[in-house]
Amino acid sequence: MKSIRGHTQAGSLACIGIGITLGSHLTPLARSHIEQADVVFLAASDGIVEKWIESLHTDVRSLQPFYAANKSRNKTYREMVNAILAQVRAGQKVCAAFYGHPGVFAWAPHEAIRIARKEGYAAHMEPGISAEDCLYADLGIDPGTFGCQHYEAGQLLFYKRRIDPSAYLVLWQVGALGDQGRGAAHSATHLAYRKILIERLARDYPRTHKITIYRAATLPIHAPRIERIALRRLADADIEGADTLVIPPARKLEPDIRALGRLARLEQASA
Amino acid sequence: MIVTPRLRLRALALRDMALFRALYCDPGTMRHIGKPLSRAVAVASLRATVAATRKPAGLRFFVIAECQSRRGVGLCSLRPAAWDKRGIELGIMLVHTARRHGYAREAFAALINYAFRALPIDTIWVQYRRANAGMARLCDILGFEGNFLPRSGTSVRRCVRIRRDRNGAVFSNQPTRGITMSNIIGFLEQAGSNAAMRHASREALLRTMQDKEIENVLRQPHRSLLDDLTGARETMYCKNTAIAPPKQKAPAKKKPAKKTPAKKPAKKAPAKRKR
Repeated sequence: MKSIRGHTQAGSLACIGIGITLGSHLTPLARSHIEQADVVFLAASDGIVEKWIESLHTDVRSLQPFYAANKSRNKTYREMVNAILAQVRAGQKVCAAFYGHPGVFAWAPHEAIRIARKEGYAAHMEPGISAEDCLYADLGIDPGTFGCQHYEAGQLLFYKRRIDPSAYLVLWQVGALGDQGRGAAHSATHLAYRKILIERLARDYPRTHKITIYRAATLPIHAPRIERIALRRLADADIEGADTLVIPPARKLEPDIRALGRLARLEQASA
Repeated sequence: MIVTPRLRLRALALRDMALFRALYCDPGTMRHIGKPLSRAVAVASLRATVAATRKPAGLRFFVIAECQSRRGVGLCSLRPAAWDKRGIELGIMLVHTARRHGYAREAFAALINYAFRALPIDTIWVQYRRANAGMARLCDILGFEGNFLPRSGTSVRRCVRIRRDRNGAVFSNQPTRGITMSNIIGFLEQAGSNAAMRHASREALLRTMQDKEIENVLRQPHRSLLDDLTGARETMYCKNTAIAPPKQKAPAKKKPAKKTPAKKPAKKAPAKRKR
């Protein structure tokens, strides 16, 4: 029998974001999802954050054990989805909590929701404060001013992408460059990939262009990492998994004369 | 009746049904205790509890009420510890709106004083789920000690005790602070959620850490001590999406050319005779 919302099965899934900073970003709704769930699955970015969420519910199951060095990430994510869905199928009210926003750079929440809905379970996503949100606040960037492009660093290398150097460019997961989806890469591989990244960026930016290495604060007593270096120094920089590259515009916005002319004629016609 | 500066602790009665339901039927309140009761079960449970409190030397259940408003904000209990003839077990529940006001500490301290003064006991026990950071913090502050195996329930529970002073003095309510997971997590949660603390100067934050005696732990350049104390996982994997390079198509193998039957030489048309 279908429920009033059209769900045919008893279990349910809510994928929520717990934000980045411990204690600061958990929304009242996300907290309520955690408190009211039968089972909570957790993918946190910090062991202390994991402990904190464990204090909010009696049955918090970390997704960290699914990761392993040299294990295929795709396999890890599939196992996460299976573990979450097994509880949904058992009729439980499941909350899957992911650090940041559960739908940003996270494969498992989208996939778990897709499968759960397909099987007739109620499933939805609650947004969380992502590292991107922290980045705008900490660096004082308004993406509306010049525009902002976001790419996964590896993807920028693998595919032909058009970079607009008159807008901001944000590159995510730079610290994971070269791991080929297997969770760990040799430092030499990282370095080699980073050198290729510099060459790729140098097509659109001068090598002396100042870029920012950014990392949001996970604990409220810490400050965010904001380090400015020249693009050519990127290979030597100390970059970790949670670091992001922010490349400010290198060119002025170029007016589109033809479009402006057409718009002006449109204005005159309507005046 | 036990009276504290802000609270009155009076015996539980059948008229406290609304408060009893507000606590035992609320998933948020029950998250560290057990499955919430249905409304019907709560009625039966209240009757059974009130009946049990009427037996001598048995369970004692108190309503925690605000002195000013006389509003019931929680329940606390004293029950004989099954494993300790000279011990008693303490428990407390507060409605959501009454938390973070220091009521639990005030009620607990008063109850401990009352128990040591009025009952033939030497030890007061508290059992709570390890995930219950609020209760862990409260027990730390009030001076409960030990980390005993759970007397009931599962291994997710922690059992602590406080003993009567050998000199016969009653409980002093002086906080004895140790560096524990609960006060570190509690401090961090407060620092993250309190606007004044979140944007406090470094000096102000350090002073607060010093007050809570956790400065040394949180100021460690390497987090090993912090992780040890909180039992936090050291290695954390953060990446939740994997973008692999596109699979390159292997160059197509050249298929051996099919042998086409040799064309028969076209028959030559007979040459036209020139005329």
